[in-house]
Amino acid sequence: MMNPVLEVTLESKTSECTRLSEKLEKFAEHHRLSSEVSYAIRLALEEILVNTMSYGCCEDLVNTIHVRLRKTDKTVEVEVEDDAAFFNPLEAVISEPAHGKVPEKEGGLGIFLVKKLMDDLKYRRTEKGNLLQMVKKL
Amino acid sequence: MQILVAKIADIEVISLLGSLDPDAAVQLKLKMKTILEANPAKLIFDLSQLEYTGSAGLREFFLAAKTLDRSGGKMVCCGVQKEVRRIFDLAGFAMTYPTVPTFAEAIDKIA
Repeated sequence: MMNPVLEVTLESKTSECTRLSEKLEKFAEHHRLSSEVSYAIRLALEEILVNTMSYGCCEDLVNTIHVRLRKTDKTVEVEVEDDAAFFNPLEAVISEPAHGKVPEKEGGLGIFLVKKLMDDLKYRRTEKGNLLQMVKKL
Repeated sequence: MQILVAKIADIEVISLLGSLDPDAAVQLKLKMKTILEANPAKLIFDLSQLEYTGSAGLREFFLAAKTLDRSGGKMVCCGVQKEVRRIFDLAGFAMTYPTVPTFAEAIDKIA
């Protein structure tokens, strides 16, 4: 029986998303997550990571980002914790994409999708950095 | 991620295979810049083998559609898989720009 928890520590570079998605795929396969659930979790993680890497992490610092997934009977809980400066991705200004218009703000569309796809989102500042908790119902 | 570009008569055909993750979206952005600078009149995105896209990839579809719209060209996406379709719907893409099930229908629509 595979551990219901998946923990991965990532460096602050977008190529790490590929490594994470491979681990996520194995986790999803093992726990028989539906394609809808695993797609939503992958997208939410990538959008949050890219936002954190673009805005939260400083170029001259070696930041690390810790990702933790936990499968319960009815949900998958996802945590993203970094050691970067204050950055709350949920406060990014978003608006519903107007039909036929290219979403203006880089990042805004990503957060819009995360809010649509995940069932609960919570941000808090910790002693270490930023912690984002997301829940996807099964 | 593989990006295949072909030309059938006067139609640019871009086929995306695999996952359009953040790094792949950067590759696609570069390729699209060259393609769009040549002002194509007709463009088909064959997405029948695209398993995943995030928001960065989605923005490239919006940008291409908008560019073709402005220049009086036509763009059609075909073969959009179920999970990718859900993202297209959430972002309002599929309501605004034509998507069809098969490549043959895309050719019919655009010819």
